Amino acid sequence: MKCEICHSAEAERAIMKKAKGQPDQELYVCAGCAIEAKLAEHDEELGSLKKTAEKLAKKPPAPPQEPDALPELVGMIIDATLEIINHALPSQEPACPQCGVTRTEYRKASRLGCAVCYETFAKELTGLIADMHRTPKHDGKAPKKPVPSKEVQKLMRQLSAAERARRMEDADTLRAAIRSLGWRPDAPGGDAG
Amino acid sequence: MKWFPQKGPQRCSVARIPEEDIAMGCRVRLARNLREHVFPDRATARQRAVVLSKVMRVIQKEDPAFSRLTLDDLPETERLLVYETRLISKELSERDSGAGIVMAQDASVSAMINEEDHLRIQGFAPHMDIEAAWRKADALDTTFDAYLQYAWTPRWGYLTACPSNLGTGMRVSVMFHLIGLRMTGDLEAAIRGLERMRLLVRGIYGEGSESSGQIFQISNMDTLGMDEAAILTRIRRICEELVRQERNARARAICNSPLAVEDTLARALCLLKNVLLLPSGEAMELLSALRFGVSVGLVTKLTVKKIDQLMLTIQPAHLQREVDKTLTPEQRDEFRAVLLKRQLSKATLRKIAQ
Ligand SMILES: [Zn+2]
Ligand SMILES: [Zn+2]
Repeated sequence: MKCEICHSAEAERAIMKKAKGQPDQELYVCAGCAIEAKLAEHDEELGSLKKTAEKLAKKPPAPPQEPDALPELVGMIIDATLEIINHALPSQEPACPQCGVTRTEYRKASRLGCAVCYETFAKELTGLIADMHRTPKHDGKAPKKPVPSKEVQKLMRQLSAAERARRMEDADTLRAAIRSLGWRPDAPGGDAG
Repeated sequence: MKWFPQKGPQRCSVARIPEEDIAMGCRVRLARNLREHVFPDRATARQRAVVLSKVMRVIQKEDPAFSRLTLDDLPETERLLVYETRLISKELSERDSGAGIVMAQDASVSAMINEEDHLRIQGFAPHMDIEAAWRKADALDTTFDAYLQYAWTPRWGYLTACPSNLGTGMRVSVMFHLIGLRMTGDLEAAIRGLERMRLLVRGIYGEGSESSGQIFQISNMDTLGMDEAAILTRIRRICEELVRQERNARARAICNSPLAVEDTLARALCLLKNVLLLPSGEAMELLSALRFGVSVGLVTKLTVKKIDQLMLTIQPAHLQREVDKTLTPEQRDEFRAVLLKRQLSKATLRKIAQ
C-alpha cells in the first residue's frame, strides 16, 4: 500500500492525524512522512531531534571501499531518529496498561499480550471475535472461584458506592461499563455462572 | 451426513477393518492463562520463569509423581526427541527460555508451560476415546484451578493469547490414517467436507506440518459458544462417520482395483527390504502402505502397532538415540534403511481372494 500523504513511497506505519473539530484520523504513511507528521505536531522537540541526527551524521563514515556505506548510514539515521521519536513523544495509540501491547502490535502478531488486553481493546475485539466464532458467548467450564480483573473489581466497588448513595445515573453508567468488559454487574463477585 | 460423496456398492466383500486401525490416537488440549501475568510471547525471560516456577510448585505439591522438565536445561537433540513423540509442540521446543513440561508417569496427561499460552494441558488416549482424553485433561485443569488464578470472563471464557482459542480453550484432535480415501481419489473431497464442517485438518505434527504417510490430525475449529460435552459429541459423530468412509474406501480400493493394491504393497515391501538409503518422508509413505496392508489382511507377520512404533523410531532424533550418536543426514538414511530391513524381514504378502 502506498503512503497516504505523499502517495509515492510504501506505507509502513500508522499515525493518528489530529484536526480541529474533527475526529482523529488514522493514516498509513511512509517512514519519511511519519517523521514529518510527528515533527510538525511537536515543534519543540524538533531542535533536539535535529541535533541527534547531526550527531549521528558526524560519526566517522564507513571505509570508502564499501559501496553500500552511504545508504546504510542514511538508513541508520532514519532508524535512530524514528526510535527517538517513538520514545521521546507520547504514542497516540492506546496501549495495554499491563503488558504495553498496542493495537498495531497485536494486529500484526494476531496475539494479545495479556488478559488485560481483552479489556483495553474490548470494543474492537468484540467484532473480531464475533467474526471468528459462530457463537461469541462462552458456554462451558468455569474456574471454581472466578476472579474479575482489577479494573472490573474497581468498577464493582464504585457501583456499590453509587448504589448506596443513590446516584442512579452513575450506577447505570458503571453497570454498562462492567457489562462491556464481559461481567454481570448484579451477580456477587460479578460471576455470570 | 451428506458431506461425503457416496459411491456405488462394492463388488466384493472385505473383512471389517477395526476402528483402531483407522483412528490412531487422540488428544484433548486445554489452553489456560494466569490472570496477572503477561502471556509468554510478550513476557520477559524473568516473567516466564515466574510462571514456570508457580506451575511447577503446584505439581510438586499435588502430583509429586509427575515428571517436571525445564526445556532450558535440555540439549537440542533431547528437545527434538520429546517433540517427535508429539508430547510438545514445535513452538514449545523452540522457546528460548522458560519453557517447561509436567507429565504423568505414563505420559497420558501433561501440560506444556509457556507455549503460546501459559498452560497447554493435554490429555491423551488411544484411538478415538476422546472422552477419556478429556477426563484426564479436565482433572489436571481442576488441580491447577485450585492454586492458580486463571484469566477468565463470563462472556469469553478462558482468555487466550490468540482469540481463536477463546471460550473452552479446548481443542480435540484425532489422528487418522486415511490411505483408503487417497487410493480411491476421494481424499481431497473428504478434507473439503471436514473443513466445511469447521474442522481443522493438519499433518501428523500439528499446526504448519505437512501430512506424512496419509496421516492427518483432525480437530475442532470452534472453541467458543459450545460447551465441552457438546464439542466432544460433535467431534465423535464426525469421527465415526470418517471411520466409516475410510473403511468403505479401503474395501472399494481392494474390490475395484485388486491388482493395483497388490502392486502398491509389493512395491512397498520390496523397497523396504532392499533399498540402501531411505529418507524419512519416503519411509513414512512405504510404512503407510504396509499399515494399510496389515489392516486389510494382505500383509501378514506384522502388526499395526509395530508399524506405529516404527513410524516414531525412524524420526531423526529417535534414530540417533537408537545408535546413541549424532548422524549426518546420509548416515541417518542409511541407518533407517538397515533398521527397517531388519524389522520387516518376516513380513509377507498375501493375494487378494477372488
Ligand atoms: Zn509518504
Ligand atoms: Zn495486555
